[in-house]
Amino acid sequence: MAWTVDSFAQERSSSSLVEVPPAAPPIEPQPQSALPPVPNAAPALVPALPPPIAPDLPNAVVETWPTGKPSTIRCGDQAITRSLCRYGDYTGTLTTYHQDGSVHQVLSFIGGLLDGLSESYDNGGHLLSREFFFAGKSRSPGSLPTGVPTRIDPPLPPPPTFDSQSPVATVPRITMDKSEEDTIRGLVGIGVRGTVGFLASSAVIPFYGGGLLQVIPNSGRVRPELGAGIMVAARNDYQRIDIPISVGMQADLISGGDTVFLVLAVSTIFANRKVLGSVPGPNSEAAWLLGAEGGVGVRLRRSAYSYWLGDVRLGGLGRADTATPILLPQTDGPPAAAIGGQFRMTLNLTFIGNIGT
Amino acid sequence: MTRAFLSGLCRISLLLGILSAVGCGSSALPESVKRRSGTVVVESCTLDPFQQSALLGDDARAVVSDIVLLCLYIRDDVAAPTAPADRASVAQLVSLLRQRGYRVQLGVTTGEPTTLTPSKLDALLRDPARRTVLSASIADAAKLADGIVIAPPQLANSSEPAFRAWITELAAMVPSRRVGLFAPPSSMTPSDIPGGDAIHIAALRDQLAQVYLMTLDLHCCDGQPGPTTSADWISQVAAFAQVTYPTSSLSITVPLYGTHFGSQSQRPVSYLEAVGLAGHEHIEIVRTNDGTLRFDYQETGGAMAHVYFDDAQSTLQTLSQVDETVPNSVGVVYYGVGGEDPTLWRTLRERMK
Repeated sequence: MAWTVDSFAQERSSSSLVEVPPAAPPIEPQPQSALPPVPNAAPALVPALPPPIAPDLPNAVVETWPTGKPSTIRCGDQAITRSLCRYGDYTGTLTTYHQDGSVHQVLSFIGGLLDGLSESYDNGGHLLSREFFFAGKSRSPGSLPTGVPTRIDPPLPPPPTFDSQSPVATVPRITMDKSEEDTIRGLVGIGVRGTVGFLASSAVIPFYGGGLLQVIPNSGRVRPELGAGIMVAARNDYQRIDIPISVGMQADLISGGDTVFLVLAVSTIFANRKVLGSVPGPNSEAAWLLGAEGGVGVRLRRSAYSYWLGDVRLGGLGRADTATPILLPQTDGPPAAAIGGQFRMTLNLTFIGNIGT
Repeated sequence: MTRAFLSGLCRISLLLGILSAVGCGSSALPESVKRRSGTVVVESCTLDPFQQSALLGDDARAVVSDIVLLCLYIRDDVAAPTAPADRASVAQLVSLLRQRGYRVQLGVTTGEPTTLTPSKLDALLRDPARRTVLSASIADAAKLADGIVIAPPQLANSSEPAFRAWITELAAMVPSRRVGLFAPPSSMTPSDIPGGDAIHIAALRDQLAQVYLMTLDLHCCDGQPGPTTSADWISQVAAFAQVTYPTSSLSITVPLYGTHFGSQSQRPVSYLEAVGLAGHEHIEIVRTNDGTLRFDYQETGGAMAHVYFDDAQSTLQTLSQVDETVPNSVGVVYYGVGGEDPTLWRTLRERMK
């Protein structure tokens, strides 16, 4: 649907879809325009000087969307910016819109002719073009008035295209910036940790290994770690099963998805040792231990929602219960507690998957 | 998910099973040991409750055929029961044991520590008159039992002729010549046992009804704590004896007691005392590679004490290893009845085939 300036004025008078532009400021008497206000037009600014004399020009036609908003102003088959037309004697800024409601063009008129800056935008609000008009005609950038910027935003990526052989749209690859690639998303990470290492006490030096379920909230460069699992301390004459529950903190030394971190953790462990060899006396020994450990590791980002942790930890454990420890005979020295104070060193590999957004 | 969970449990169980197998591999009991004639030694003329419980039970009776009551002590050149026992009480005990089906022999000893030298027996045996008195007393006591077993102390090697003469005289006086001997466990000639050459077994083989090789107290005298016996040692001693005096009836010996190696002295300990001591000191008992049990602890003064002892498993393991080289015609002496693992006789009864 298209209107001439006159028909648009008649239509507008009976439609509520088009806003009535505010009246001109009453500071000075303004010459009455022969044209009605344009939909969505800003308040008209009336120049102090009368418009230049223009030859008898054809009238521009305003086209609108079904919503009533102007879509374009044509001059014959061309946009008004590409030919010379008169939009009545309208003075002020006129805005046209894309179908989705975003601004398409902002045009400046004086006395019905384009005069001043005219800009066009895409649907995303990016500036596509900027021209300076005087008396309806475009002026070259070199003759622009001082202070008028001539920069134009770089061109946007081409729109999706359809391969003739495929109905699937092909979109140019969108490359994330570096911070996006380094980001680990999700609220909390849940994973498993595999551990190998050894214990060392005055009584025995057994292998120490097992697995833990780990929970690591994704709280940035300093984050807590929670763990619980099962560990085995074993040697040919020593066999112990530990159930540790640990709480710790990881702190990144550098930012990013791939990072180096320090870790500190405390743990409480229920230990149950089996007495081997079918010997007289107790068949097993149970104990509660408290321990702490510290270490350093690396985090390798696998995806935005998962990563690997590899670390080495050193720490100690000590008895926390009041039971008298069972002593183990030693070949070269006094007997020592089978479950007592002990040093431990472990190598750990953890896979964490984050959940939540 | 349930299947995966069960699979995970199975894997954990398998891991623990492997660990258990690794840790417990050395604790398996031998399936069986050779049936041998069994003899127990009681170092008394009476039976304490532990000894009564053991010997009057069916399990021990199935394993043991002979009992040696080591209760005739040589005092004032004669061998007699020591107070409070007397001839009558010994006769009564022998009768009781015979009713249970045992053959009972009386052991003769000086009661001296084996390390005491020279023994008072050296001088006695060198005097023919005193020797005759001693032999007569022993022959008289032999009437109470089924035989006599001589348990000599450590003698000087120079006493060998006198000892040989004494045994010859004694065998002639004891009915049916039933004289046995607790012999030093030599494994070579000359003997590797202190005083071992004082007893020439090969020269006595016609006088002795039974030779009991005292394969005990392996670490009594070397200052190094260790097990009371070992299968390798027993096998060496038995092999040497079979070659040196092949016509004699032989028995090897396994201990039913342990040894407490203190900082100042050694003493025998029973199984129950050793286990109780370990429990009191919160020490874990360890089974050594040869099956013997051991533990160490700090005595009150801070010095280390070492305890080695046996249980049914270690005794069975020793006998099983001895079986590999020693024929079942060689008997076995269980020394120190009453101090053994309470499950010993049942275990031996089940597995001695």
